[in-house]
Amino acid sequence: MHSHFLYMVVFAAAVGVVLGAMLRRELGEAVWLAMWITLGMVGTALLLAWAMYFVSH
Amino acid sequence: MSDPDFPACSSTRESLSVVDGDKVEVAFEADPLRVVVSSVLAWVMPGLGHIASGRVMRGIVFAIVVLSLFLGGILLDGKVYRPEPGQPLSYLAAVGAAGVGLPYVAAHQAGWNLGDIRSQSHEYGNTFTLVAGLLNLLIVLDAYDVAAGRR
Repeated sequence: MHSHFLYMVVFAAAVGVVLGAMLRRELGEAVWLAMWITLGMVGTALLLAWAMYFVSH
Repeated sequence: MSDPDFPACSSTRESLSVVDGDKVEVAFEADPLRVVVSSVLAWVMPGLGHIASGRVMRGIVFAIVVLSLFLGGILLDGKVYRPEPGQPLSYLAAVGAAGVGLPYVAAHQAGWNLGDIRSQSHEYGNTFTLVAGLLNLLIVLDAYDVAAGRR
């Protein structure tokens, strides 16, 4: 079974962790940035998907 | 709180010089060989450049994430891009995917590069393998900066 949402979350988390670790020196700040990037990517994707639903109907 | 696993890079020397009478400029003199070696190691195997510069935990995190993303892409039936004559965009994609270094070569040698276009997750797999390479290219640049004493 394929979960497209899970793939999207895994992808966003991977990008968030790498960018967080790269752009912040402090561990706590890196975790915060990784979390915000992950949530931002998933949230943006959901908003776009929602908008596309209305466009298609 | 500072992370004890991220020690200052030992490959650089700081030198102070006075500019305009009272301004002090700090210049970093990095060992060029070490900078090059760290950058190449970072490309060959994700995270290795940071580990070589003494940032072990950060290197391990990069290695786990990038390799997981790359292997995950292959397991999702994604292809590992390679240059295809007559398709200019495939060259760009190949450069991006090759950013992951040795695993890119290994995937091609093992015949894991084709993917399965009939799979539902084929496009996800393509994205995973490509972005793993692109992320590692960013990591290579970061490893260069770390070895040069800029970070």
